[in-house]
Amino acid sequence: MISTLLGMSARGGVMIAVVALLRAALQHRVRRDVWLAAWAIAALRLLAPFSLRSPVSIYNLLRPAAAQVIPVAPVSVQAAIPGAPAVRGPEPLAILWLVGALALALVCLCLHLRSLRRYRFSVPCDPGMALPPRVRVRRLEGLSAPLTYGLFRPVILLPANLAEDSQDLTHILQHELAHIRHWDVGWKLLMLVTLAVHWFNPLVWGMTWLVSQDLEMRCDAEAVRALGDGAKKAYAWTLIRAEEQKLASFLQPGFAHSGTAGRIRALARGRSSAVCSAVLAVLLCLLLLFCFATERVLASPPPAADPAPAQVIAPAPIPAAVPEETPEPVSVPEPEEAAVPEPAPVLIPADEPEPEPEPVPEPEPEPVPEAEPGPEPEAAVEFKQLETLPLAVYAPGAMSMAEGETITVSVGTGWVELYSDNPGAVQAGGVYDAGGVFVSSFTAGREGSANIYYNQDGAWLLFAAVSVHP
Amino acid sequence: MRLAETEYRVMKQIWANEGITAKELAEALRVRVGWSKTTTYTVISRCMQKNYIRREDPKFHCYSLISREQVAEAETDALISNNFDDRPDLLVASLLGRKKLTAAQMAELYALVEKMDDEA
Repeated sequence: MISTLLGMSARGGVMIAVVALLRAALQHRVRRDVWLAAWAIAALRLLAPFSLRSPVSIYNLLRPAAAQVIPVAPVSVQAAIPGAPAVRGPEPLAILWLVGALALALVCLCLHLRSLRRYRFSVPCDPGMALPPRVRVRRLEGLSAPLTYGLFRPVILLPANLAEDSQDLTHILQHELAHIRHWDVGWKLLMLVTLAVHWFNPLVWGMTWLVSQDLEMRCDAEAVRALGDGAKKAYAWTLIRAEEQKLASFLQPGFAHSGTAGRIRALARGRSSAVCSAVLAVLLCLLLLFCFATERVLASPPPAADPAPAQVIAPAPIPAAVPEETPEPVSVPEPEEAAVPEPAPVLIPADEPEPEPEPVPEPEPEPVPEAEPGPEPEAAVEFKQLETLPLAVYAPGAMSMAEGETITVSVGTGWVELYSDNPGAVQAGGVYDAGGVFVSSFTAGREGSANIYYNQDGAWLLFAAVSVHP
Repeated sequence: MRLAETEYRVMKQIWANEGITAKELAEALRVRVGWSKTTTYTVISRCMQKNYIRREDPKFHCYSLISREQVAEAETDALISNNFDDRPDLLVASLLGRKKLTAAQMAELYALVEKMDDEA
């Protein structure tokens, strides 16, 4: 699960970098909506845990080995006995992430609630202009800069020292009304969720800042447009005056707290054509959607889905030989708590996983139809010398997994790509390098059946036929 | 003493209705400024802490401990000090110059000044 998250985060980061670069070059030539559309796609990429494969994906350029070797520190690779059970407890990285995400969400929530408590003491204020029905304008003593809060019943909050029927008031109201019209509080919420999930990724923090900037600048542009010609200069002065008093707040898009210098620059330089903006927006979104949000296609199409045990080459007798050949890292003892072994078929040793694999007497070539369907979610299958040996040390041809179960396959040196012809039932995972040993995995999804293939010299060979039960 | 805007709103209600209960006060402010009961009660307790309000039970009747004039004086002093360089005559001159006074009010002022002259 952590690997999926890291993958999403990395790909999202790439997208953010691309958009940020384009924005740096072109931002004053096109409307802000272009960048906001792009940021929406980036947020989607960051939050959606799946992706489609596409031949135009940028990730097709990556060499598979380079793309897929991810150093993972606490990979628990079981010893050589096939089916030796070990409980995979919650990964420590997952816990760390969860703590970070919750902490961030909690802090933001507390800050927001504290602000709301303060805003209760506001008093009504006459806006001096017509407003949309649900919008209220109020004044709060001690407030340093205007802001808007509330998603469905928005309230524009003004500092108490703002003179009624002053020019500043009109400018500010137009700006805040633009925020309300575009549901910018929703944007802020989206950024908060994205940040909570990807708090470890500095590029996502950068995106949050850039999104804030773009939201403010879009509302500036709209306010100036609504105020009429010649209002730009006066509006800029309002910005400068408001800059003197800043109120930092995360969930409330406000007037003065987002890079005022940049906003004034945007006002001064902005000369945007609606047509150019639309064209660029469409092109950019297509580019992001098809090239950066997708996965690379696989090496070559696998053979037809046909669970044919006959295809599996009878594995050579391994267990007795393996313990000696096992490289050091492989026999790392299971760090998590051991499972309570079920009354297991012969294949699985009935006690705690030990660092030294016991020489289990049974010869694995005998076709044991059902592997351990019990609570032990992890079993490791080891093989070496991929070029000469097949993968199927497991019961040839058939394997049964429970939903959610993950099987880790240690592949020795080199790399292997696993492919499942039914990713709904079994999802094949990437390759990980755990200190010199390559590990691959596949996880059972919902109930179903699938064939797992591995790629050897460009040809797809059947590794196992898996049936997944709930 | 200078009041915060929230406190001023509460005091205004009390000055207009000495002895008003907190409950009625909350209702009046709910209508006027849209405050919840909790909010009003919080401001009332702040005022009590600062000795602006005196509470009389059994029904939480509120009585003011400061007068309108006291507050107005404090505000005027601050106004003169901050905006008119500590010179009250500049404030008056400003009022006169900006034609903020009616003829009747000016006559009244004139009479007041005359009286002070006599006393002094």
